[in-house]
Amino acid sequence: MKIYFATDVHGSEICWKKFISASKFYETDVLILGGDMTGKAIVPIIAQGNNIYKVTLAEQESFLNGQDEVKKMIQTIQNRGYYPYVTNPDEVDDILSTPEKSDKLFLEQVLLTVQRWMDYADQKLAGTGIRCFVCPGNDDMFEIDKVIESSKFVENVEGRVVQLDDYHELISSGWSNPTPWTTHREESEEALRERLEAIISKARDASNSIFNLHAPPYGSGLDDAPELTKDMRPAFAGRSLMPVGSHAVMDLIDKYEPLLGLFGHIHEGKGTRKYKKTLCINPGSMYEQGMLHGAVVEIKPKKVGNYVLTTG
Amino acid sequence: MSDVSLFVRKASGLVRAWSVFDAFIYATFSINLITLGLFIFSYCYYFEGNLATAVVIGAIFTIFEVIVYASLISAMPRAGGDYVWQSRILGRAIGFLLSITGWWFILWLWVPLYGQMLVYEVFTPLLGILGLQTAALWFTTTNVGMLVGMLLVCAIVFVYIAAGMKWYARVQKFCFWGGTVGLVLVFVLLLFGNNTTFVANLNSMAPQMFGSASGTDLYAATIAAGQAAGTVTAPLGDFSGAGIIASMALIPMMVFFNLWPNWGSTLYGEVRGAGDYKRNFWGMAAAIIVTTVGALIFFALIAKTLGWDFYNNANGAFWNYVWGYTTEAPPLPFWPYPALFAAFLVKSRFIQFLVILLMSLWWFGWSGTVFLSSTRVIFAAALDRMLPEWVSKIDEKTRVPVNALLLMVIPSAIISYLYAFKIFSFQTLALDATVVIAITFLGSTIAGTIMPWKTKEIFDGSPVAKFTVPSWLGWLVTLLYAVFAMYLIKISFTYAWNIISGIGTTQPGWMTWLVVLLLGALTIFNAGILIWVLYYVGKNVFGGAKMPLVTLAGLIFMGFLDWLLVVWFWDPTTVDGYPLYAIGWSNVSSMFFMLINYLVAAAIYFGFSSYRKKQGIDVNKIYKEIPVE
Repeated sequence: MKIYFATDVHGSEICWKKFISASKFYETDVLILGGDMTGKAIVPIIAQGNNIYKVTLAEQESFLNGQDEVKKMIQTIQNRGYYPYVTNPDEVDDILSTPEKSDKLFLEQVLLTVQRWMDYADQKLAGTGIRCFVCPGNDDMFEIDKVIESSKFVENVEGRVVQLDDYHELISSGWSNPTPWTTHREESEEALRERLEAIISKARDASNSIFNLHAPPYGSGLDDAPELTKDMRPAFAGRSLMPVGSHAVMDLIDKYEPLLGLFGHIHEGKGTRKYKKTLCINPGSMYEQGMLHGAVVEIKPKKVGNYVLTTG
Repeated sequence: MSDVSLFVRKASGLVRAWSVFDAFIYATFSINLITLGLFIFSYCYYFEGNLATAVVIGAIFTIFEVIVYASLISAMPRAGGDYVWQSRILGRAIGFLLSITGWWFILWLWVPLYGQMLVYEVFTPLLGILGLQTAALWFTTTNVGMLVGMLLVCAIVFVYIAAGMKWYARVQKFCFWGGTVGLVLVFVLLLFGNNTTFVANLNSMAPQMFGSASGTDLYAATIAAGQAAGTVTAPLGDFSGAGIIASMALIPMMVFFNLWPNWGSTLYGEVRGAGDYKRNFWGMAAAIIVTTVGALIFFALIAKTLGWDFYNNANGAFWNYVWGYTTEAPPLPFWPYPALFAAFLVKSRFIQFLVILLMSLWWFGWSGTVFLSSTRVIFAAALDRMLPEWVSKIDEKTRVPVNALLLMVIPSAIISYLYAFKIFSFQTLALDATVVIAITFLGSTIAGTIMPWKTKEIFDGSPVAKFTVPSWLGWLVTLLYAVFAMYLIKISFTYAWNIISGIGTTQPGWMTWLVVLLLGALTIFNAGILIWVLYYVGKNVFGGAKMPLVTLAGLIFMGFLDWLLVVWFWDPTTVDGYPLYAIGWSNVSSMFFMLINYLVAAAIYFGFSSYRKKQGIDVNKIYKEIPVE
């Protein structure tokens, strides 16, 4: 069995499409998305009158002339992982002055996007026999779970143990240890340990399984992120890296020694690491550039076969 | 209120911009005036050009390098630098060959150079000041002493890597401030000191510290020894046309120190917008500007207090002996370190020691860079399955990548031995360390130049897509590039023809023939690249596309790098029968050393590609874009 694993696409439309197409390209049987599907920002495209629109992407202000340019910009924004929103100056002021409206708008855009992604996946995966699993991550709102579950060919595997073939189970959770941003699915190390233990306990043979956990093990090198100053700037121009992974995940890897550990969360943490017989992989993420980092892994009955990290 | 450009929700990874000043510190360490700068300045005693002019012109071209790299970082941040940029834009084979050689293999040669600087700038002066004359001279004047210095580089860097980037970043910051205090002290000493005091103190202290002949005028003797060595001592401040032309010949030497502002650039993290592009640019550009100004101040102060003539002749006398052109030891048996000369302006041993100790922080803050980049490339190659898995193994207890370090330390130790004991003329290969990396940078520069069209979607979605130049300027630069490319093709073919047609009279060995013929083939290949880039950019720019800033900077910097390569390899100018740079066709050791680097990289690439294919891994897909229907 060959699997393709990617993670942290953060709203990038092109990365999602590449993910769905990856199975055919790399000739794998299974697709697994590790979490953090949703984007972090909405980019307003603000009508200025006379079919002119103003937009600021990546701190560069542009004026768009007509609907064709607007459509092109929408695609660029979506591929970068942001949500484009065509609006007018009055509505922008309204959103700014009412925080709940911003939250509501985000939820609308996130759900619309996830729905569009599921429709795309259902269309492309139909009849292929490829199994596709996604597991929302700490940055993903809970509301997206139901949208994923409405898909015919994409399975939401949060908190579940899924039988992949006669030998292997996939044990998944997108929850993480605490972050400085107080995100949707994060909790203390103790709570995370209890959560993960409860999921693992459902597996028949954890030692021959695949752990698909969003948070990488602490100190593995797959969790090296730029150190932040108190005012949330990367310290030492981003050169000072420090481990920010989960102790609970590390302990569980050590305890159960699964065949394979698939992780994400830390975009800079691209790499592999072996603990005893467990191969741990974080493919990293470059979603803003529309490049999909991933891993193609061959799973044999009792061991991991060949693997390679890809930049697709 | 409607000036808002972004609504942001709570999500991880949203951070504020990093400090430009911190980025500046690391770029400043990479183009280290005290280690790389002073070291290569000392080599230039036989050039007729003006060091100050060469430093300034070299810096101007390096600004274009900064634009290219800041743009690549903005378009593809966190990608792993040259390796991934080249693999994605030019193809995996090119990316692998150029990065493995430029960021890994050639670093083996940098170790003896770092070791030499450690001995010359730290051990010998500090031990001399402490009165440990024998130990001080043992390091500088014996092969074993030099080798020990080189091996200590490996040990020190091992400690840095074991401590991790978190601690190394802190060490660098401390060293920056300590080193800056040291440099200010040196400048103050030179500014308020005078030549009479310096000469008197040199004549009295050098015998005490380093065993120079006492009772003699060491100052005058050094000038005489330098003159005998063929020192030219071009005057500072010659801005005539002839002076500038002569100074151009110095630029291939100057890039040994100022080509590296981009060294740590791939570590700058997430780039979210044009503001971050500007931060990247200014972090690196400010380092170039400040270092260049620092060099000019240093030159002026050396000239004022030590004497420009003395400084150049001291370098000539020292290197002429070290390189074996004379058997007569120089009057000053230590490397002419301007900071040590400045320290001679005071008589207090404590202040002298303090000044040199603080200045040594420029070496300690910089030295970690020698293995950090290479271990990253080794890891990247292992992730791409182009090296065995064991090379990226990390020791459980120390978290040290032991095997990757051994892949650095063992070859470095062997090359250090060859360098220290002057076997196969390895002591003449210092500039090879620059040439191989310059070739890697050439690959990334071409990648950056064509990126706007070759990887259009990535570029268009990046913050740098908006930085374009007016059409007329795009056309002008393209035309200028065309003219300069033709000039480079003409001179390289002329040099090649002159050497190939005249070499028979010198009865060369087969190795020299092989080198010359290989360079001839590379000259044709290079012409093809120059023309292809012209065609590629020209068809887009003259087809109506606006020229992006990265393309403009890329064309200029590419022309600069290509010119460097032509003059390094064909080395057309001679001084007293010796070639100027002495690493090109006439130095078989140099050419074979570089050739072996590329052959080993090619063997790994093709060997592992084939091996992985047999294992069922199609490594050719690693950097291929997944097609989306």
